[in-house]
Amino acid sequence: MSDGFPLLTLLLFLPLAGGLAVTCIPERLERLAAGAATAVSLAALGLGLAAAGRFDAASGIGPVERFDWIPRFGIAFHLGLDGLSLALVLLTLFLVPFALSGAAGGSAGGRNRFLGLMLALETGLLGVFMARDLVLFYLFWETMLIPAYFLLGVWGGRHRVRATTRFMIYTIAGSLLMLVGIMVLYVRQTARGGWGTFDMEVLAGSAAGAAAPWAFLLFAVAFAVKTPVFPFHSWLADAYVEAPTGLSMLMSGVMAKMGVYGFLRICLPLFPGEARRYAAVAMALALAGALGGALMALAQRDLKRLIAWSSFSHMGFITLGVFSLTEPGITGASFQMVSHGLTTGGLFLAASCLCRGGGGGGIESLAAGPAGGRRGGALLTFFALASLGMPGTASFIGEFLIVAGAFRAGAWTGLVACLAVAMGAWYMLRLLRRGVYQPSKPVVHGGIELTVRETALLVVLGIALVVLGIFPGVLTAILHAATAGILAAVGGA
Amino acid sequence: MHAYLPEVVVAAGALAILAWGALRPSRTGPGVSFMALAALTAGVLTMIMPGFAGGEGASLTGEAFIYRVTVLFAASLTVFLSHEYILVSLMPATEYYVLLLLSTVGMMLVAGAADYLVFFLGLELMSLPLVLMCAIGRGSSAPKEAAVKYLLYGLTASAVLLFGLTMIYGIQGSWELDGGDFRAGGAAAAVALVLVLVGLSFKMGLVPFHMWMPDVLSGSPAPVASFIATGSKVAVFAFAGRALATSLGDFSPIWFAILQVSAVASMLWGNLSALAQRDVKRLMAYSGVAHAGYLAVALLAADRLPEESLASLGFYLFAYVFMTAGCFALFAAIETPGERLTTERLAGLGRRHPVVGAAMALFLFGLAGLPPTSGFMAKFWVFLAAVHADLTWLAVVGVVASAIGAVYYLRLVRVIFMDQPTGGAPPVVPGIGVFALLLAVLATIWLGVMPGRFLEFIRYTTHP
Repeated sequence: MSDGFPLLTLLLFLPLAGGLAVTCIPERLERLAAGAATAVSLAALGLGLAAAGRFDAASGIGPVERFDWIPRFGIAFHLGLDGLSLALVLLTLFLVPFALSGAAGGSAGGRNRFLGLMLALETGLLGVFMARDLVLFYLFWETMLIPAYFLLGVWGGRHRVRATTRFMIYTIAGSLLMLVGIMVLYVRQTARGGWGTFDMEVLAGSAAGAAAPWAFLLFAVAFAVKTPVFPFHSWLADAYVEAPTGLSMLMSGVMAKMGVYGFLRICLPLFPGEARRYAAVAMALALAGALGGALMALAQRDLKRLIAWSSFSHMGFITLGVFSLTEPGITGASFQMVSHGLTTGGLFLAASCLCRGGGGGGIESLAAGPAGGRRGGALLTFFALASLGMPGTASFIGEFLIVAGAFRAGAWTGLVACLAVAMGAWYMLRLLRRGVYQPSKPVVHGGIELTVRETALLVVLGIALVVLGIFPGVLTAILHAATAGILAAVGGA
Repeated sequence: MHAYLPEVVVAAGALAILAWGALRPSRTGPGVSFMALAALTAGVLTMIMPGFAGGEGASLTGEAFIYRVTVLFAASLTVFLSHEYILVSLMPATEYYVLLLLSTVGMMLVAGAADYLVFFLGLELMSLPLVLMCAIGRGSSAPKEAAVKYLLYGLTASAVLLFGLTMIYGIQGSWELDGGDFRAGGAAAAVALVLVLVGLSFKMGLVPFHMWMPDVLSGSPAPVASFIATGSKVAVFAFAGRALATSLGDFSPIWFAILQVSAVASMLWGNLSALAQRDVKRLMAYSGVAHAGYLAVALLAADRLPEESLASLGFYLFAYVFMTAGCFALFAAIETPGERLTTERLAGLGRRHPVVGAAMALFLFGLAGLPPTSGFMAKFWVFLAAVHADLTWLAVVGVVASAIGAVYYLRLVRVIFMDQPTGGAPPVVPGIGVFALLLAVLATIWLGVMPGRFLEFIRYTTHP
């Protein structure tokens, strides 16, 4: 079915192959390994842009590749790139080079293996966003845990073992339930005769019948754990804080989006009836997460922990957009996924640069502000403002659309969503006041300034956010057809 | 007779080793390992010989092709594991390999039996050499204790089983699996069925008849433990699938109800008990109990969906043999004969031997059922068969149990890669055990990434 050159397959496996190669480079050639890893990630970005060139924004149809993989069960190696996938694939490809360089500061020993595993993780992330077969989707969803496990467990912070165990148990339990959901879907549809299929596009047309509510819940829980949606979030803070910077960036920037992507790609089109029925519950949980995350962020004195809770709060907000089942809500959620990926990536990168001064991650002792490095303070300010939704940055567009969607779903929903936005502004501004602009701030460590390289990385991320904020049409055009398709399937407004 | 050719070849190998050992004074030369390996390879070659046609014959079923081959693979992997171990621990090589090959013949007979008498003879031929192989280990009293336990539990199981089998013979008037009207026996048939099921559960290691597994596996030398965990499990499950799901299927409500409870208990209890283990061989034994539970799910699904479920059983066993033998290959390489192998001994292994550590992690991820390994595909097929057979709740219990299981498998990975060794990382004795690791790695990845052809093959051989 694929026409000629298997571009998507190549894009998918290039990081994995590159990762294996990087792992094989001898330990003492660290700089070569770092260069090679960055080169691989940039090459993948190039391939991704080439694939984007084959995407037609007007019809929303992108390249598709399909090979029979396990014909016995009707499992196909089926990759596709529609607007929603393309946006997230590009986000992943764009963030990985930053995550690789973000690793440069810390992590003692075994750097080559670290970089190799990060690239393997990239393949897993891309696979999840491109797979059009449920088993293939599950395969990448689960396989990705293996590099994540090692990255977090070997190169993580002091409490890495506890964080790793919690993270793995939560996600494995969630995804195994999803596996049962996949099987139930499959069996329901094969009961009508012969061997079935795991193809999402085929399954989207056929309801699962009486078992649909159960199958929906099995999928929804798996996605809720990954996002995470309240009350499945207790793994989050430890994992984000203990992870090495590069992994924190990918976890909060991309991996969390997998859950929301799952809602949009599987829960809504495959179970439209259930999605409508449980939308109110989902929105309530999403709002609880958005508000609760903001409250937790207010209480934090550690910068990374604050960013982790803020990320949780934002993910709740994005989930709200999805389950508002309205056009602005879903467009906003998709848009906000990209912008939040960039914002939180930037925040974690900035945090790791600012916290290395030796004062730990405490907000009061940041090496930024008048006493310390001015560049660091300025950039942290920028990303904090971007996170709270300052107009001119991408987050403003995303949050605005989500709030609009929430109001369309119900006035109270919209009001509570506004409250969540306001609280986002509160904790971020408080962070800036205490961490950067406190007039009486004592000079703790003689001012540690960002290196030119770190500054350049953060500035590029910032530019991307501003460009998307000023020209949101670039992204909404890509998303338009996919959003319309989901809305048509779920029958929303 | 033609159908028994592979068994004959392997038994001939055993006799050849015995003769060679009698003629040569030195009993620990490398030659014996290669003779054993040659006999097993000849057995595999006989199986796949053109014209052999799956080995259908008197009292032997052609549907068991894959199980007999799997048993041969399990035995070959055990030889790879045993070679260095025998040299280090000064075990008598000749006797060891003779027993190994004879036990293999027994397993093949059990796996292929289409007749209760052949099954019982095979079972005894399989178990008695295993008892001696446990006892052969030098050092502390642990191997002797393991041997006595295995003997006593094994004899009990055999007695119960034999009682049931004689009742079956009395009812249907023949030893054949499909011989006569078993249902006519009424209450006596039901009692016979329960007795057979209890006997089989002992050998399969299903709760509540699993108590011998942890003691026997932790007490015996790592290669022997590996052989018990893999070979005998394949053989007994192969027979159970054929006997319960097909021949005794008339009485499905009875065995179904019992096995259902037993499967759920095994999956949950096996995984929960494994959480608490510090001795890695005990841990693997409890993990084996849990895997017996998953395999029992396939047996249960076979009641309504025989073709698909029995094929998934065959695939699961094949994948399980390689992953488990791979783990034990590592244990054999670092074990000090006569000492308990605790999890702490594995600490730091991943730093000192990254490749071996990575292989070990692969097997553990496979046993936990994570893709892209054969363990995932095996679980996928078994649970899919269960959902297909309207046993969705069993699949749900299975995945919950798998999530619990992931905790201790991942903890072992953590110990290997993330914990600091207390007294230096254990030295890995290089040797031909490496081949076992290599084979296991290849099988685990191949069946996880490209299982399509092999799935078709298993489906074809289990139900031509």
